[in-house]
Order: sequence, then C-alpha cells, then structure tokens
Amino acid sequence: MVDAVQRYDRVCSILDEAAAGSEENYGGLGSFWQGGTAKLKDAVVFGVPMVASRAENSGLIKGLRGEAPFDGGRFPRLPWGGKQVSEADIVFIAEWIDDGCPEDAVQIDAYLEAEVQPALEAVAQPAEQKTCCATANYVIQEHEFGLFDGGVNAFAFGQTEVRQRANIDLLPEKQIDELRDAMRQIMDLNDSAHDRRSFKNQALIHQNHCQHGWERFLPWHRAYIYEFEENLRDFNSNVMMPYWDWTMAQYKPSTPDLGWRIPNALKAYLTTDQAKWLVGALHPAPTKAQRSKILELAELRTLFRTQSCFLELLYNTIGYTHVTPDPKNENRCRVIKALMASNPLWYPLRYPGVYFNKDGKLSTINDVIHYHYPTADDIRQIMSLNNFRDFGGGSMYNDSYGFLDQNPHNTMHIWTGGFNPYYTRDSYKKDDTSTRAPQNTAQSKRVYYSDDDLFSQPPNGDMFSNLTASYDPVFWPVHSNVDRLWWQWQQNNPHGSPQDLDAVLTPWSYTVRDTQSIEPFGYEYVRGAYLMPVGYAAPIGRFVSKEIPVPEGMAEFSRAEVRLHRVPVLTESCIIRVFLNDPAADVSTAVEGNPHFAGYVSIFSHGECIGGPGHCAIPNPRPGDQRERPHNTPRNHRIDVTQAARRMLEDSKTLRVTLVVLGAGDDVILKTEGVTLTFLD
Amino acid sequence: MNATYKIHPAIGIARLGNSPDAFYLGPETAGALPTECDELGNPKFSPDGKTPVTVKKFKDAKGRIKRQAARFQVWVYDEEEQKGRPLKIGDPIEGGGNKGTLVAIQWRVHMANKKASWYQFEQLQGEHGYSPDHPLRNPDVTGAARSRLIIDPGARIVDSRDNRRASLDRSGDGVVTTTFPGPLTPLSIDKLGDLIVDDEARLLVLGGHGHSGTEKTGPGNPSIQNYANNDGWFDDTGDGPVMARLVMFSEEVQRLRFVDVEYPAWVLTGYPSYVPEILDIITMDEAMEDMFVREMAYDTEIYGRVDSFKDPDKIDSADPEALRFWRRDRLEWNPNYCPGFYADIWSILFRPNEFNYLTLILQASNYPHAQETRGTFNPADLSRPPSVRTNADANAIEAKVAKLTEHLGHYAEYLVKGPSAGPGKRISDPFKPMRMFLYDLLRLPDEENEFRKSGKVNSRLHNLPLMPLLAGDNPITNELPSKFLRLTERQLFLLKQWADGKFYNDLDRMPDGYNPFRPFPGPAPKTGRALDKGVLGKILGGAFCPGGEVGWIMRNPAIYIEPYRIKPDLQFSTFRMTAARASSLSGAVPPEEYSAYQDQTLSLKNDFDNGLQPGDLTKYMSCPWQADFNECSTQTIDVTYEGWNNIYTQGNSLLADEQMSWETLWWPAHRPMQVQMKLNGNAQPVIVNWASGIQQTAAGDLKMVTDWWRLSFVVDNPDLPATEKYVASPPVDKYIGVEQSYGKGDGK
Repeated sequence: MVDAVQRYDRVCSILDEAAAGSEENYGGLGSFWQGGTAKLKDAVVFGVPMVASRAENSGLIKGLRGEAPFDGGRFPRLPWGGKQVSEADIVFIAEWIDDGCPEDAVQIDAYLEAEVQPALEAVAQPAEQKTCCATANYVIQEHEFGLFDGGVNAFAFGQTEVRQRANIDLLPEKQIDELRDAMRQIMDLNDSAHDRRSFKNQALIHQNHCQHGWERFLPWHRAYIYEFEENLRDFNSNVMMPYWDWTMAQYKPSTPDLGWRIPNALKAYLTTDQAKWLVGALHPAPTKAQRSKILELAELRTLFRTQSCFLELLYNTIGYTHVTPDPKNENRCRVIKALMASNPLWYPLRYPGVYFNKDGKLSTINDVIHYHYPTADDIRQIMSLNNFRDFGGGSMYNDSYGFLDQNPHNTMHIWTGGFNPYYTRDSYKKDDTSTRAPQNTAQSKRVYYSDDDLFSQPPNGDMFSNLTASYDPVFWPVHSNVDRLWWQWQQNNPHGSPQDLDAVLTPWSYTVRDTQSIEPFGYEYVRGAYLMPVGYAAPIGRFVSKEIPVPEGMAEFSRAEVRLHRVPVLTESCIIRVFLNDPAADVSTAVEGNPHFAGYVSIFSHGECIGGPGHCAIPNPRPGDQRERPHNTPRNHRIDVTQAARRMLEDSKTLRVTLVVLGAGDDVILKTEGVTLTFLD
Repeated sequence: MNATYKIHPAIGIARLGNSPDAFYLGPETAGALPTECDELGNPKFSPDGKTPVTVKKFKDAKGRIKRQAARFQVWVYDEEEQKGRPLKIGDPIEGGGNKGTLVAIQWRVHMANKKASWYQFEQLQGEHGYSPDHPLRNPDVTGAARSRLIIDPGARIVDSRDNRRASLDRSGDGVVTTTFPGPLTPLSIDKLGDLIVDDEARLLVLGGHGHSGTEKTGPGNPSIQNYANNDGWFDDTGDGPVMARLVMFSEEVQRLRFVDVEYPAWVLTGYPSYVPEILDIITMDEAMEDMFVREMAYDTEIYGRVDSFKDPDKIDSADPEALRFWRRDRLEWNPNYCPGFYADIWSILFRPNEFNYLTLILQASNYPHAQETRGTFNPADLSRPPSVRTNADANAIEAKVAKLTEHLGHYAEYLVKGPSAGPGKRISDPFKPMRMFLYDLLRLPDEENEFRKSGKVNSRLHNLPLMPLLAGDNPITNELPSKFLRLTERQLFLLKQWADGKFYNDLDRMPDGYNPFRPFPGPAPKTGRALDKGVLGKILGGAFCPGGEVGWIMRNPAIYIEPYRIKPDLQFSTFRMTAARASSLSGAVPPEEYSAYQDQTLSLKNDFDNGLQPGDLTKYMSCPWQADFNECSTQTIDVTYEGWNNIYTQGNSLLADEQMSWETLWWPAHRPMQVQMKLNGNAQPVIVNWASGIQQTAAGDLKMVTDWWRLSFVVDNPDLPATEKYVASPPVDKYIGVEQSYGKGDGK
C-alpha cells in the first residue's frame, strides 16, 4: 500500500504523535514543527537551531536522538514531556532535512517502512534511562546542567533583570571581547561629530562637566558611567562596564611595581590579523625571521603594558631597528595603530606605574608623587568612615574632598597615567640615552583621537589630568570600581548622603538625589556569576550542575548565592535544598551536620486555581502597563550559600550545585529559566 | 578591626572663674578633687611622679575663683586594645587609607551661648517639643536680628605643635567674625573661654569668667525679675563641639596625612563646683545612663526583651531602625539581676547623710540617714544578703522565736526562720525588713507629686514623707507639675533587687583601700567610658528646673548619636576643610588660617535630626545662671493636692485651712544652704549661712551676679584625720567651707 503524502506532513505527524500530551512550548515557540517548513527551518530552541544544512548537525535530529546538548546535560531528549521517537522515524526526518526540507509529495513505501523499522528500533532502544519521578503527563529526566558561556547579562532574562557589572579580571574573555567590540563601535562614531554617543563626545563630557573634590564627585560619576554604558549597550545590550578591583593579589598593592599594574584586559597585544598587517606595513620590510617573531607575538597573545614595552622588544629583541620614539616616525605610528586596532581597551598615552624622579631616574609613585598605591587595608579604613563628607566629600567645592576621591581615586589616575619614558629619549636602543627636544602640545590644541594626538610623546599619560583622563578606556573600569565602593558603603551607611540633594548633574537631568541608589539604574555589582540555563521545558525534581571552575580571585568573595531565575508560580509548594559538591544528594540526604548542605528556600505555590475565568491567565503586561503585576508573575529566589561554598573551596577548585525539590506530593517539580551561582564582593 | 579614634570624655565640663589666668584641671572621677596643673595645662604630680596633686587653693591671691579646665584626650581602639587606650604623639596610626606616625593633634572647638535667643524656660514645657506660641526670651527682638542674641565667637583651632593657645573671644583671632553683645551692666562679656593644648597633645577648654550683664540701661537697671528668664541679660556660659584631627607623617610617601576622630566630643561650661566631693542624689552620669539603658539598649543585660537575659541582644545603638524595633518590644528589667551592694547600692544610699553637712535642717535636727550601728543606714546590716541555713537545732530556733515573739509579734518567726528553702533548710534574711523599709519609702514613678506615703495606716511607713525629699522638675506652676525628685528607674530597679534580697556583698571586690564611709572618689578611670562617666559624676542629674549645668535636654535620646556621644550638626562641628583635602595639600594650608565659605548661621531652632549646634545644650538654662543658682536653695512646695502647685484660697477659708506646704531643699551638693566654717581665725568651725547676705529673692539674684565668686568652697576638712572623719558617725565639721572672699576686693 502506497500513500501519497507530503513528507513534511509525515514529519509533523511523527512529532505530533510523540509530543502528544505535552504542554511544552519550547521557550515560547510552541510546537515549532507545525505551521510550515519555513517556520521549522527557522526554529531556534534556547539558542539551538532546529534545522541545520545537514541533518546530523540539526538540533531536531540531535534532540530526537538524545545527543548533546539534548543528552540531559543542558536539555533533555526531544520532544520534551513526550514519547521517544523511533529511530526509523528519525531517519525519515533526517533524510528529509538532508534533502533540503522539500515540500514535494513522495510515495512512501509502506512495505519498506514495515521491514526496516523493527531492526532499527532494536538499535535505538535506550541502554539505560534513569528516571526520578513521574507525572501524569511526562517523565522528568535527570540530567546535568552545563554553563552558559555568554554571561548572565546575555541570557534571555538578563534583559529584564538587574544587570551585572562584574570584576574585569574574572570576566571570561568572550565577554571582554564583547566589551571591546562595543567600544570599537562607539570609537567608530568619532568621525560623526554630532553623534553624542561617540567615544570622543562621551569623553568630552568629563572634560567639560566633571565633578571632583566635593560631594558631587560620586553622584556625577555614577550617572556618567551609566550613560556611557547605555551607549555601549546600544550596540550590544549584553555589555556592562566591568570594575577593576585594584587591590587584588595580582596587583601586589604593597609593591605595585611588581604587580600587573593594570588589568590584562586593557594591555596591548596583537591579533593575528593586525600582526599580518603590521609586518606588511613596516617599511623597510622586516626580515623573515623578524616577521615570524612578530607573528609569534600574536600567536602567543603576548601582553604589553605600554607602547614602549612593545617598541623596545621590537628594537632590541626582534632586532627591527627602523623605529624611533620620534612622534613622526612612521613605523612607530604603524605599531600603535596595530595595537589599538587589536585591543580598543588599550591606549597609547598610558604609562601605568612609571615615574621618574627629578634626576630622571626611574622611581616610584611614593617617592615622586608622594601618594601610595591603595591596598585592601586602605579601602577597609575608608569603608569604615562614618559620614558621607569624609567618605565621599562635603558641600564646599574642592575643599571638601572625601577620602575615596582623594586617594584611591586620584592615586589610580596618577598610577594609570604615569610618566612617559620617551618624553625626551630619542632611541629605543637599550642603554642609548640620546635625547630630543620635548614635544609639548597644549591641551587646548590637542585633537583627541587624531593620529597626531595618539602618536604624540607627552610628558604624562592622559589619566594624569582630569581634562584628558576619560580619553583613556581604563578610566571606566577605575570609576566603575569607585562607584562599587560607594554602593558598598551605602549598604552600611543608609543615612549617609550628600548635603545638596537637589543639585543637578549637568549635562544630564539627574539630580544628586537620583543617584542615591543604583536600583533605578538597574545594575548591581557582582564579583562574577555562572549561569546554567534550565528553561521551563525541563521541569526538575532534582538539579545537578556540571562542575563550575572557581578561579582563585573569585574565591575571595564575601557572599555566594544560588539564584533561581524566573520561577513560575508552581502548583505545589515545595522546599528547594541546595547542596554543593554532592551530585548524589537527594531528598534523603542529611541536612544537619552535612558540610555540603548550603541552604534552602521555600516556594509557596498558588495551588489549584479556584478563581474565576482568567484568574490565573492574565495576559502579560504591555509596556507602560501600570497595573500591579499579576500574581502568576515568575519570581526570583536567592539562597545564601556563602558558608558551604567557603567550606567546599578549601579543598576544591570547582563547585557543583545540586538542587533537591521536596514537597508533599510525588509530583512536586520546580520550573525555572535558569540557575546562577553568583559571587559578591 | 580598623583602629578607631575617639575623644574622651565624650562630654566635658569647664567651670567659670573670675581669676584672669589661674586654672586647674577638672576631676575625672565622681567626688574627686580637681588637680593642679602648670600654666600650659600639664598636670602636677607628687614626688612619686604618679599621683596627681589635688587642688588646695580654689581661688587666686585676690580671692578670685580659678577656672576649672575641661580636658579632652584622643583614645585609640584597635585589635590590641579593644577597650581603648590614650593616644600618644609618636604612636603609629592609620585611617582614611593612610598610615603613619602621629606627629600632632589639631583641635577645633566652637562654643556659643544661645540663651538669650531661646524660648523662655517654663519648667517642663518644651521637653517634648515647644508649642508654637511658647514665649521667647527677648521677644521684642524679631526676625534676623535675633541671631544677634547668640553669643558666637566662632570656631578656633589649636594644635599640639606651635599653635597651642587660642581665645574664644570677641577678636576672632583675625580668622573669623564674631557676635558678642554690646556693653553690659554690671559686667560685659568679651569671651566664652580659652583653649590650651598641653605637652601630651590633650586639649584644655577653659570657660568664661562668670561675667553676666544686661544691655538694658537707665533707671531701675540692672534688674533681675525671674529665676530663669530675664530679657536683656547675657551670661558667659556656653557649650559646643570639640573635634580632633590627627596629623601623621607617612613614612612611605614622606608627607603629612590627616584623619579625623570618629565623632566630636562636647564641652559645656557651668558654674563652679563649690562642693566637689559630695555627690548629688542623682548625678548626670546616672540620669543619662538610665535613659541610655531604657531607650538606647545600652545595657541589655539589665534591661531588655522579656526572657532575653540569658543571651542578651546586641543592638547597635547608632542604628535608629534597630533601636526603634527593640523599643517596640516587650522590655523589662532583668528580674534575676544581682547588684553588688557596695558598688551599686551603697553608692546611692551613702549620699543623703552627706547633706547633713550642707544644711542646718538636717544637721541640727535629727539623723534619719544615720550610718552607725543602730542607724537606719548601717551598711554592715544592709549589705548582708539572705543566706540558706540548715535547721541544725530546731529547738533552739523555736525557743528564739518564742522569746522574740513577745516583742515583735508575728515578725519574730519571719526574722528568725525566714522563708523556707526546702526540707530542713531555711533562708535566713534578718535584715529584709530593714531593706524593705528603705525601699518602701522611695518615691516611685508616677509618685512625683506625692509628698507622703499614705494608705498604710497600720504600717510604720504611714504618713512618712517619700524619698528623696528634694524638689522636683516642676514644684512651681500648675502646668505639668512634678513636685519632688524621684530616683531614676535604673536606681530604683537596683534598689528593688537589693530590697528583695537579690544582691551580693561585694566588699572584697571593691578596690584596695575601699572604706564604706569614704566610697568616693573611686579609682582614676582606666577606660574611655569610665572617663566619660567620671566627668559627668559632678554634673547635676536632677531635678531639672532648669537644673545645674544642663537640664532635661540631656535625657532626650534624640540628641545622642550613641550613648554618651552628642549628635553633632556637622556644619558646625567638623574642620571646614576635610581631612582628605588636608592630606592632598599635605598640610600646606594650616587649618586655623583656612577660611571656609559658610552659608549658615547658628540656628534659632532645634533640628535634632541634623544634630546639635554650639549652644544647644545650655540654651535652656537660666539667664543669667546666677538667678536660678541663688534661688534654688529651698522651695516651699504646696503639698495640698497632687495636681496643683498653686491653689487660690481667696474667699474660701475651708480651702485655706486645708493648705499644707513643705519647705524643700533643691540640690545642696550644688548650692549649699549652711556650712561649717572657721570664722575670724577661730580654730573651731561654726555653722553659718553659706551665701550670707544674699537673699533668696530677685534682689538677691542680682547680688549673686557680682558676688558668686566670694562664696566658700566646701571641702573635706583637712584638719581632721581620716580615722575621725571616714567613720559611721563623723563629726559635724567633716566638711568645712574655705576661702570665702567676703570683703576681698571687687573681683577684678
């Protein structure tokens, strides 16, 4: 018997049959296979395209077969909440995909179907299927949830939740790259003089309006960072301005000359593309050996604090000597261009931690500037100040510096600016002390971010002066950290505020009062966070994360939290217990005296709806909807796991989160968009 | 733990004197004599190099009273010394993100006198906020001109190096503009005090010279009409914040760095302490501690949430929300608290007998507070707590009961056996009736207007006057009467525990050399808190009408940022240049030469939320102080009805027949009535009127304005050996008046 049907219809019926009874809506897509081939081809479920050019790469096929990421790690096998599809049917669908998802009708040979199917089914029988609890509708699979690599801000709920500014030294490279891209985009706007979002126009705001030396310092800069960050987010809404905690161990605050001096993310390096460009552009051309050494710098991603670190290496180690400190030296200009193009967070007019004394000898910030690099102990002292005037400044301009403003803030400007070692030196050759006349361009004559300016040899780095500081991208992580310290101080001093709360912060319309809380600005500070997407598709009776590597710097948190994001109102009340590094924990695992037990949260459910029609089915609020949120609005929960996390990290460099759901009935389950492990300072 | 720096005492007291230059250091322990110092304020020591030399002469060669300095010192609290230790030049310090060696301390003081600009003192009205129509002093002066009624010398800064003296005077020291009243009669006011830094970087604040006068001229002037409110008058008391800034040399950056102490301290000026060694029935330390315990969770072991005493709450008294929440709970005195007899009970009970030496009424009539063997206040009896005894010889005990029953009735069995403590045991508490007698005579809360114990017709307590029998916060008007003084709730609680037998005999825990008949002064303070308390020990703690040095404002929790620490208005208490700015300049601009933009004048109102300004503690007090000081000797209190201080009997002879009054003492340890004094070179003292020739009238008040300095100081009689005077029954001349300057010049 041969029926003439469209292959697509057959695909639908296979999937419909398997999914029968499931209410899963796949992150809002619903039954994505229905509604035409075009819709199916475009369907993306939680970031996974369902149909790729080849069947074996298609999410749908991987999902139906239970292959990663549908192996229970991130997601369960497709269809969720339904029955497993036979391998013969999967092969049918796979062939259809490999054929380009045609809509033509074909003859399906029922004979063939009958003959092949039993043999293939035997193969596809699952070897072992662990189940933890059954519901009327579906089997809840137990699986390990892996980390989302895009950062918490990038995840779907990141757009609606409090956004996170994280520690720049603990931020994954991928997110640093996103920041770099966004920076590059607003730097690209520099040619559009009238676009207020351009990097130059943003920097100009500081030159013209900045507030220091009194109580408006902190409020003004809180608004400034926020505005700048929003401009970045125009181009990539995942980007938030990270903060630089300059007291971390790698900066060796007591002997800062021996430390990193500046976060690695802001140091110079060559990308392969830029290295290739550079070796082609240098004139005269470098030798083959020199070329390969330059390319090797890119391969190894060698980091340089300053331009001269790079140029001295180029001259003395690589042996390319056609380069001098002269601002007009073309090869030097090419090097700077390549480094800037490689990392827009690097800035040529920046000499962190470089100081010369009156005799021209290399010295220290302590001896030359009579300021010292701030230590964690210094910050503790400042955080213990009991009034805003001492902490953040008083009401008299420039006479009422707060300690946070004066040092560390001023110090970090001076530290990152530094002295230009080639202000008058005329050669990169080691031990060659020949000099040239200093180049002194008046600040008023500078054209910021012009070639002339970027290639110049000023006496100090731009961070040294408040008129130029904001042209150096390090300005932002420094001030983000200052803002973080203020926010932390505010937690402990809820009554500490500036005197003149009505003062307007030009060029914006914020008043000082508007800046007294970061809540309206919608961000928070975290040391770092790890997200494990779950999705409503995967109701869980038990959640086990994969191993989360916790780097050394991260482990110095003051608080650790497990957060459950957007938990919809459940039908049954339950208790969620959190265990760390005990993937086998279940409802019978002891709580008292168990070092793995980290905490719990009780979730109060709505129960069976006995309200009128629509009581539990209120449409989602529209933008501008001022009514109260409906009672079924998903909620977030946070569980303090600080003590257990500290205990676990004594012997381990990784953490695994296990959530165990306890309730009165057998079918108690938890639904959540995702789980994060968050570390706070 | 970060090091923190605090000034102690948190509240210091300077005292007036008309001697232009001579001064001494105020006592730092309740009941101690002041100590001698050199002209730079450095204390003098006896040859052992340790014992401070106490003051022998309170007046200078011309018979003028020496001023008493309030001394302030910076203490450090750190890991090493969590209870604090005095900070010394050369010590390592840190703060504001800097560390270094302490090289100097800068002190900033801003005192003012707001009396003439304030409301009229009308007893308790105003304690819980002034009504909008409460009359002002000097009501004819209106609008901005009222600011001129504030005596404001501005702030002065001194330091421990080359700027060690300054005057809070009319000149402004070339730094600030000042506000002083014009020429006054009889005495003009040109300064509120002086500042001196001693060799150990401690600050001494000296008060005014006791000048009081009126701007009013013409026939009939000067004139004083009222004990508290006299338009046109000014005096030179005052108060204000004392701030300190530590100057360190940072070795690592080779520059000066600056950091401020945690909060300012406060200085106030009062009249001389004429009786330095006798304590008032309620000292300011006790009045304040009572409030801190009840309102600010200062001691949750004694007062806290019901059933919380096994694990007392720790409430941050500087956290208003936490405190409010705590206050809303069910709070009680710890029912199991056991005071020590000598430390907590005897230190109160000892005092009334001392008043024998300050008033003829007590000295010449009877001895209700006698401390000798058969006296009501015999410490040997009062200090014996109940004990559990085994009934070893039942027959002997029954015989004893039988024998005593004849005289004592049913009391005998109780006295001999006490309550049962289980089979074969009894609690022996023979002195419980004695303790209960004393306690039952005490005036309890809400009995401020009761004169006598009534309603116990069969009791020996019936009709006896309640104690203390001293004037209260308002024995004057019918508006909020509060006729008699009542002990603080904390004092009453301790006494109740004692009376109930819940106490212990702590004699062996008292300091070496402790003599129950000389309980004061205790040892010198070893902690900052002990110093705070010690200095307050000779400030009057009640009654407040308006009081001695300061009044009921001190029992208002809104004026404190934490216990003992006045909440300052930062606009007037801090160095105008921040410590961070001074650090950025590395001290290049000396703070005393730094003139700051000021957009505010001293306020004519209260703003407790924002903190207190200079002058905000003493402004409630009598103007001039001499008027109230003179009149607060005794008070005829109408005791006819509890609710009325004044009844109007005209045309009502029945009411007139009912009328009763009692001549009541105010505060003899601040203002004695009669004292023993050697007159005309006689070796044997006789009892005389202390303020001889100065009437208890408005006319007398005016005399007091010019003659307060002639009065004698009443001191422990140096002619008597300790074995004669520190005993249960000392002679009448245990204390004698000395250095009276009647007929000795004109005080100028």
